[in-house]
Amino acid sequence: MRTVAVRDLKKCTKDCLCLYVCPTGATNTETGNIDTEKCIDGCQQCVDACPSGAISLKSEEPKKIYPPQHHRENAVRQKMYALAESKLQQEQIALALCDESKDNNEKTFLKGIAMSNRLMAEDFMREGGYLTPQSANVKALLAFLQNADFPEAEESLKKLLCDTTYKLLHKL
Amino acid sequence: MEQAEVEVVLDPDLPKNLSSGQLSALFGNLAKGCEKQGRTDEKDLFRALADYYKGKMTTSSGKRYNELESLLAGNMDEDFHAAMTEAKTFGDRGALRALTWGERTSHMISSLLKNKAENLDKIRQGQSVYVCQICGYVVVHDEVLERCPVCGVPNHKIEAV
Repeated sequence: MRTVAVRDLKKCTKDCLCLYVCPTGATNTETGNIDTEKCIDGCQQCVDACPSGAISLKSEEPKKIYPPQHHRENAVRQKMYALAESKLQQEQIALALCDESKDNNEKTFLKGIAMSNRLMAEDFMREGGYLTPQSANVKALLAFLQNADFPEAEESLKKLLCDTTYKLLHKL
Repeated sequence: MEQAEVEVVLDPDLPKNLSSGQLSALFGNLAKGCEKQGRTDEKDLFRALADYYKGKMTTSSGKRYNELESLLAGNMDEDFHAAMTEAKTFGDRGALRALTWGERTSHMISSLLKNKAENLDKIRQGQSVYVCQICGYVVVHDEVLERCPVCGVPNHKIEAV
C-alpha cells in the first residue's frame, strides 16, 4: 500500500515551498492537485515544508472496507428518505417557477431556495445510512444499482467502480 | 495481504425503491465526501452517478408557490416531528443533528416565502441571496454573515447565488 501526498486547495496559500522540496516534481501540476503517479511513497517532504498545513499524507488503498457504520434503525432511515423526497419535490417546484419567471430578482430568489432544498436532501440521505463513501452500505447500494439502473460508464469509471465494489462483488 | 478476505456485511435494510432524485442527492453528497478525503478519482465517479440520476428526475411545469408552501407546511407540522421522535427513540444523534438543522432551515425558507415581496425588493436594491453549503440555510442580506446561524460553519462555506 502506497502513502501519497494530497493538497487541500482551500488551505493552500501559494507559498510554493512544495515545488522547491519535491524530488520528482509531483507538486508541479496545472490543477494544483498533486500527481500521485510521480509522488514517492511515504516521502512527506512537501507535507513538512508546507507553511499553511495544506498537504497531508493519504494511504492509496481504494479497496479498503471501513468498519461497519453504527447501526441505523430502518425506521429512522425511512423517515430520512421521506423528508429528502419532499425537499427534492420542493427543489423541482422552485426550479420550475424559476424557469417560468421573467424577473431576474425572482429567479435568484428561487435558485437560492432550490439550492437550499437540494443541500437538505443530501444531508438527509447521508444520515439515512450513506455517510462514508467507502462504507459497506454504499457498496451494497452500488452493487444493487449495477443490476437495476446504472449509467454506461466510461472505461476509467468502470475500473474505479470495479475497485470500489471489488470485494463485495467478489462475494456475491 | 492486499487481497485478504474481508467479511462484508451486506446492508439488510438496503432500500430498493429510492427515486432518481434521492439517488442523485445521495451520490452528490458522497462526491463531496471524497473531495474532502482528497480522493479525486472517486469523487468523479460519484459525481458522474449523481449527474446521471439527476438527469432522470421528472421535471414538471405549471407549478405554483402554494404547492411549495403546502409541502413545506407539511414538513414543519408533521414530518420533522415524526422523524425526530423516531430518531430520539433509537438515540440516533446523526439523524437528530440533520433534522434539527433541516427544521431551522425550513423555517427560514417559510419566512422568506411569506415575505416574498419584501425580499424581492431587497434583491432589487442590490442585496444577495446567500446559501450555506453545509446545511442549506438561506438568507437575503447585504453582506455575507460571519458564520452560519444554523450550523455555525465559517463563511467560506456560505455562497451567494
